[in-house]
Amino acid sequence: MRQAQLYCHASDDSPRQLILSGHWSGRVGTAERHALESAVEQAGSSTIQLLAGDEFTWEASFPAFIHGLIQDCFSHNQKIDCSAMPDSLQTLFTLAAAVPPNTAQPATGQSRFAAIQQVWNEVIDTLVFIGEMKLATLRLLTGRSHMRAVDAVSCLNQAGPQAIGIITLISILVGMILAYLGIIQLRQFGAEVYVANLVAVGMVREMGALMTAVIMAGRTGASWAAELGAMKVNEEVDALTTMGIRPMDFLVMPRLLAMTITMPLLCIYSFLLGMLGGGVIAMTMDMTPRMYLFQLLSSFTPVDVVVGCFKGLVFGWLIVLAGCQAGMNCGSSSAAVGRATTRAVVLAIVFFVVADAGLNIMFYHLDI
Amino acid sequence: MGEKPVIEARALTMRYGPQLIQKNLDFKINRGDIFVVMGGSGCGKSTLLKHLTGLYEPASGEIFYNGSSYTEADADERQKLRSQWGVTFQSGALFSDMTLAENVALPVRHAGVSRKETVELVSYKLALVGLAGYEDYYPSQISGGMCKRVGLARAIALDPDILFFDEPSAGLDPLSARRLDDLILNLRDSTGTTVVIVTHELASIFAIANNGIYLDAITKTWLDQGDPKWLRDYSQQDIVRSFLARGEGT
Repeated sequence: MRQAQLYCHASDDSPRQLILSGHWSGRVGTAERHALESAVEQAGSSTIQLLAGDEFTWEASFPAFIHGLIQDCFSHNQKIDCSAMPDSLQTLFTLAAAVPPNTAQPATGQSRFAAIQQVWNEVIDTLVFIGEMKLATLRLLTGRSHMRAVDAVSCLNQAGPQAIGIITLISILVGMILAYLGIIQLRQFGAEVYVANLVAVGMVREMGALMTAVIMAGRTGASWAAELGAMKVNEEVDALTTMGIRPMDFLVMPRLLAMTITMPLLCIYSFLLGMLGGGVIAMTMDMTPRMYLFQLLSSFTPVDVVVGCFKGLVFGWLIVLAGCQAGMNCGSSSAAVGRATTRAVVLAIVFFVVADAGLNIMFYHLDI
Repeated sequence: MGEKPVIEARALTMRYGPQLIQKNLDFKINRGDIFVVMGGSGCGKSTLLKHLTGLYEPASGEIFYNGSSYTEADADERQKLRSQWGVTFQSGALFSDMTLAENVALPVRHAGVSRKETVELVSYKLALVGLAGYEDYYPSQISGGMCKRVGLARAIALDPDILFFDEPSAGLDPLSARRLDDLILNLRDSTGTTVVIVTHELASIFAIANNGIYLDAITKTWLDQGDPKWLRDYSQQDIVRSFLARGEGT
């Protein structure tokens, strides 16, 4: 196969001609390709004519190179005339030039304040979503909602019985952790018996609701965000809207209702199992069951249980808010569903930890 | 004379954020029209359909339905208008946790039709799109083309005044596509339904459409509008003629 060669012919009365002979490819004739580029550069603003010389053959990368050259020349007001090249090459160049290149830049949103703008948009989106949830709740309470009972039952199953296993395990372990923590500290004062108080108050007022919420955010909230996100990508949410069915009623309300019912119940379940876990540790530390139980029951009141359940309820609503909002505002790609899921979990945890701090401050000042 | 157009767009401009999709679209769709939205890929055909179905808000301009502005309508009025439409989506947009019968039944039950009537209606509509006997299947158990047909059955379940189709015959075999064209013509002739279709299928365009608009991706506005057959032969715009003549082998 003959090596690529370039011959340059310039005269005053005709366009500068570049004659290509031999085999032109991506690997062979790199020097000639550079020579071709320099010849075009030297031609100034005149038209350059490309001609096929002796034994001219080319590989697939050659048209790409010439196309790039044509684009460069075009931007410098130069013109490359390929009309004397083989027909097969001309067809490719004609096809590539059939549609003029897009001159508009893709919207990147990379302004200096893009991050602030994004946070601001998210705050607005969240407030709008809360407003829509409120209106949908009012419609539900006044019997004007488009929610289907069957969907509420399905969500109830996801947010209740299906979560029992993991909540059992975590609650027992958290109760044990609290007991160990208490025993180590209280032993220094000979007050090991008060470990029951620590476990009971810790579980009922704080850890039960918090750990249940963490599990529900990671398990149910994420699952709902992914489910709604996939529905959004698959245009199912749009389909509902065009049918005259409000997506907020149809998709969000069953989840809100399910979480409203299950969270307080799951919290009570978590309290009991945490106390059981703490009791197991207390037994191993020479405490009698009777003593543990007595101490346990005297350490908290029904008000503490209501406080714990109320916290769980608020956390549950925040999980629905974060999960459903992330899903419903999901983009239209599969990657967006992944981002929505992550966002649902992270936002839910941020929301309910902030809410927990606020509620604790409020309860302290109300002396509850 | 004097009957208001079913749909009218006035100086409609569509944007995705800062990106202009189409500007200054003006067109009228009359009762019983089969109106086709044509144009190259990425010119904004599906986006126009989403604006017409109220899923997106126009950047500027207005859309009128039977002479009333949709843009200025409140939520309840919009809800009422939507209940008179049937919309099919590119993918079918079926609810994956519902059977095909439940999917078709959803808008019917929402409209307050009794359970018994719904069952009959669902069975009939599924038969119309060639899917009799598939009532208890789930969307994951049927092909993409079948999903589109179920989407169509759902859209026509309540005999809507206006039917919007997004690429109805893409992905369908020629026989199913032909059957779909016949069904659309039949719906128009029997119930006077107005049909708006986004499609690339020239065979379908010439078989059923009597009106249409060509959107251009470069100038970002409409180039021509009218009967597709007339546009193919007499459009002043070369690109419109060549787009439509491709189907005739020219």
